[in-house]
Amino acid sequence: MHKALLIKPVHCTACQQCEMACSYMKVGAFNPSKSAIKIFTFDGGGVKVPYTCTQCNEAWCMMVCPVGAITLNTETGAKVVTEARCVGCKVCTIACPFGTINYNSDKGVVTKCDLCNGTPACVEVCPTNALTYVDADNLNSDRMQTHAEKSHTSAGEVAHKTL
Amino acid sequence: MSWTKKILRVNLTTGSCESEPLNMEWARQYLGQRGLATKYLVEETDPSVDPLSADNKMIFATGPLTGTIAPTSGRWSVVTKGPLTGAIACSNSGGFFGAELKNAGWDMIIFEGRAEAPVYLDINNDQVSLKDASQLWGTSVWETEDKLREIRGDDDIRVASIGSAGEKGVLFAAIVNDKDRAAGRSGVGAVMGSKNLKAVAVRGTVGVTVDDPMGLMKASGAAKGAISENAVTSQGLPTYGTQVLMNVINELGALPTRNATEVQFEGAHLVSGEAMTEPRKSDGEANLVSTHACFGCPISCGRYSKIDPEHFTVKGKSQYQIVSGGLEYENAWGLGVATGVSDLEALTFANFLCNEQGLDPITCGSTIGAAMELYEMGAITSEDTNGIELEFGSAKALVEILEATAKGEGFGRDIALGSKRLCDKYGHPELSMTVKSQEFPAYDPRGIQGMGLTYATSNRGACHLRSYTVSSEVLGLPEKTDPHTTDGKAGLVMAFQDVTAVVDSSGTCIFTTFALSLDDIAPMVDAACVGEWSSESLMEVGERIWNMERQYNIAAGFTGKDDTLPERLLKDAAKSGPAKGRVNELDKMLPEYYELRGWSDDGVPTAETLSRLSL
Amino acid sequence: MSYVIIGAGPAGVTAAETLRKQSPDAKIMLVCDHPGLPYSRMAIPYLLTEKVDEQGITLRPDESHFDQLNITLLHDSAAALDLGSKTVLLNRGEPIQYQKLLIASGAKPRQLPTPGNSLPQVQNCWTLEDARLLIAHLKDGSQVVLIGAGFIGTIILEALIEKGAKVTVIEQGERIVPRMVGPEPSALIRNWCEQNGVVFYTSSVVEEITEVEEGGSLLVHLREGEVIPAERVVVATGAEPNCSFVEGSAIQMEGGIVVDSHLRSSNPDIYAAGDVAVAPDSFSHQLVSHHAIQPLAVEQGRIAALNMSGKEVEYSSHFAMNILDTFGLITASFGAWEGVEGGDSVEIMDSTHHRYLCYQFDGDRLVGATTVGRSHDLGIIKGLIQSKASLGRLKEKLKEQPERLKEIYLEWSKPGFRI
Repeated sequence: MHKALLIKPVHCTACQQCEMACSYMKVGAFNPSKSAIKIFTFDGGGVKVPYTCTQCNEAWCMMVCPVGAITLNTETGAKVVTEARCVGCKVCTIACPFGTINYNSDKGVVTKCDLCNGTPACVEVCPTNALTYVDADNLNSDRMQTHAEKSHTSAGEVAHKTL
Repeated sequence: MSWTKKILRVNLTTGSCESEPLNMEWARQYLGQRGLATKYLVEETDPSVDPLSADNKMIFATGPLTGTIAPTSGRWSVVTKGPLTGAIACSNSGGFFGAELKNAGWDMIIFEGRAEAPVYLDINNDQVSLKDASQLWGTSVWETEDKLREIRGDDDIRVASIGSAGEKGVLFAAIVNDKDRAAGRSGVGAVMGSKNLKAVAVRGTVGVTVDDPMGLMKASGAAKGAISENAVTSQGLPTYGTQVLMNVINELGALPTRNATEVQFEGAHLVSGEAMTEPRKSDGEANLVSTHACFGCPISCGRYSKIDPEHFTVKGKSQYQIVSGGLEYENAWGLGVATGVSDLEALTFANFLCNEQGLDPITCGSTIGAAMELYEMGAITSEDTNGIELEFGSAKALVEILEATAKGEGFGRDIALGSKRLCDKYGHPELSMTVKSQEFPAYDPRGIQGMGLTYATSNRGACHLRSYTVSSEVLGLPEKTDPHTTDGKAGLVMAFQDVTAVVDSSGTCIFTTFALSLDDIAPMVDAACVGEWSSESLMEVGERIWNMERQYNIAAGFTGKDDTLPERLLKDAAKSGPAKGRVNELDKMLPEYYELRGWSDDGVPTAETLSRLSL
Repeated sequence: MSYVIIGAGPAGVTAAETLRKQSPDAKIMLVCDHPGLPYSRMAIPYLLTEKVDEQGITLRPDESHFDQLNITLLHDSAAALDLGSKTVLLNRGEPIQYQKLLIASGAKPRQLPTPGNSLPQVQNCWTLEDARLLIAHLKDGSQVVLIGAGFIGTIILEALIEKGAKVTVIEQGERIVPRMVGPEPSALIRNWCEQNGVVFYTSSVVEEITEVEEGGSLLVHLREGEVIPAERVVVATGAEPNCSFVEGSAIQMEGGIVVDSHLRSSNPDIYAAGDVAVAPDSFSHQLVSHHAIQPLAVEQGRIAALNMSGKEVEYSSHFAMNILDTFGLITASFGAWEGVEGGDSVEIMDSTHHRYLCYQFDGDRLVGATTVGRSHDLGIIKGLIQSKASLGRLKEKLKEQPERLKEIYLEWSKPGFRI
């Protein structure tokens, strides 16, 4: 059974510890602008939502990559960017309907959440348990999936889920 | 590594923005932020300078841990000579601006001179320029932030700016960043305004690197663990914010009420952290909407509030019917307890105004409290106040006078002077609750003896954040001392002052020290920074910083005579509560403090002390 | 079951893989019209700049990928179809029989109808072979004339400059990338490219290309009178479906193979996907092939394959999406970026920072967008357009604060997030 990131926005205080830890894993520096998890704040700061890739099943990013630079890690279920293979064409960034794969112009490659190979750094540092790493069949994580399905409302996508 | 080793020097007179290397020898002696910026100020300016003249400099500084994964790494400071006090001013702030500045690759910005016309500083990593701010001048902090986002076309910029208070030279004007965090005290916003600098907008995507990242992760993890196990940092502050103290301090009889005429406030429970979470009678909603952390902070003491849209303060004013920075303890005290106002919604509105226009709510509230006392005793009349009936407890008067102060209108111009100058002007200097012309905050030294010495010896004028002995005397951290005794308080104050100077120079928040000692902080500094850093070496850095600040003030004209308290605290006994009958016994603590500090009887650091600290 | 797929581009390869997933035992034959492994035309600019080598542009990095999936990779090309006998006639090998056929033969570059078009110094940059030829002839300081400033022309522009070429672009239309963005963003991109040393001639037609000496440098003559010297001319004047082998058959064609909502052609056993297929656009409802759009090719390949293997799956998100990087300035457009009849829009232009943002609405649905100068959260735009969701009151919020798309998106998706 894969594990999945469970995000509970109500616990988030927007402290950005997750962004720092993530960016450290990605670029070796504390640099929220390079993080694959982002906290969105709105309603004047009254609402905070950590947001990252849900590792959706038939991942658009993986499917559309013209050079096979995004592959499935069968142990974690993560869709992982092989930076050495990525040419930086960015087509995945417009294909992913969640906006959770983005281009890093410094490195010339795209970045997304890869679940840190099974020990997500964002979860390690989150002080409020807004981020946890749980069994994917956990009831609550289905809520993320529900959202994913909502974004894939075309009939094709619905069929896609039933395969 | 950890320091970016780059300083941005901005000459507002000539318009030049130059990068220069950080003086690393000073960094090893003064760490960063408060200490290091003060060192630059000391080296580069004359302590007798007029704070509002072009010759004064103003420094925005981060610390070596700012922007790192260390807990509470969002801190930054403004260091300058304060116009309210004439002393060294170091105002710290949290939020996100400091970390963004560090992420843009800068340890500090040194502002010199004065621009001929309003400008703002635009920073995008190493692209830096001064830009015309004529269309921003006259707008509030909130509008300025929004407009700069528009102008820059970038929602992710962080802004520190002044509102009308800073523009008009209100002597307790603050610099506000991220709309609701402030470098609040000593009038640093007036210095910014005097330089015609409206705002600093920064976007940083360079990233912050440290000497030993895995070591810092580990040390930070341990520190976060301690923070999560401490009741104050893991329960009290996250649940109620700093407002957790309102009822506690009131019950202790240490809540200076109605210009410190009393030590307990009958309306405390109505304006407390608990009250903020309760559904209002009017609309069933709670004042508190959510909690909010500054950058990197696991404590999350920040509050976001929304005022009842039907409340008289905001009715029909949609711009205030929003979620914004809510009441902190000091603000609820200054705007409410010091003025006797117990209308939570009105205080929240007053707090919004302070954020929006850039006012220090401590000095502002205390000064309005003093004005109310002057009014009630007849020393000022409604003729002086343009018809505002400045009675204790009047929410209406509070809001009216606050708006006038921010706009620099009518009697607001007198309030803008701070209580020292106001009370002098109306012939009652004894009614100013100040030390070195700065108002003391929400802890009455008659009920908490150590805070008397804290206020009296604070280098930036009365302040709780130079040695927060409340931690020991009230909360029992790191160990409990009796708030009613003076025994051991000199040593306690000194130790707290030095540790605080270290924390304020590191880039982290003093609130960590409820849970952390220097033994927990040193490993983070040691991992982040090149060189060897231990709690002993850091303690020495703290003591060096404290003495450097003291030397600056002496050079600026202060003497041991200024290390005192308002007479009211020394002579008028507390009227109620556990401290009933007590005054503050400063005279029992001060000589011992001087001796422990290695200062002369009149409060001057001895040659030996200075040489020991390489000053 | 026996499947034949003509064309080993993204649509064909995805279809082959999907078929294999559906039918472990089926016979799957993938007809690839070039030697070697299937590769990606999208990645060719990065081959030009040597960011990757030839192995780096293969669609699937693992050389044994098709063998492992037991997909027969046949290096040949289709010559004609015999619908009666369900046979594909090949140009070189023996005819092959199919039970279900997918035509995914892609597009081919439109030829320049100009004297001099067949000179050896005049080339396309479409295939790997073209790329090799171009690499062999590009030197630092080479003068290159690029004819056509459409999407495909423009994506190789940066590569040419990066290789040290001095590039002059000739575009027949009034503006560059005319089928990707409107006039304002087009002007922004042009200005940015000009700042990076590119010279543009728009509303200009090439009348003739002549040699100064045989096999040597060229002169490109414009109708307007200018003569531009060039060592090499690269032609990128658009593409057309590559399906001449279908012509003359009974399959319905209309600028490509017409497919229904299941990507089936007029012949029930023949499907089409990718650049060769024309389907009604999600918003204009016109029959179109959105050329050279990887996500569409992949999605069509996948859905065609599902239908071929008996699943009834509808293809309903047929709209263009493009992303272009010109010297670090990133432009993207989606769907009905020009707007739809009776729709409305919001637009922010910031020429100082080379930034532009435009959202197009049909009622309270987002149907199209253009962005210049931003690279984050672009997928959200696609997600919202694709979902065809009613935004309700959020539409007005988005019109008021177009920069706050993330917030609005999250508010829209709140039920899933407010756990």
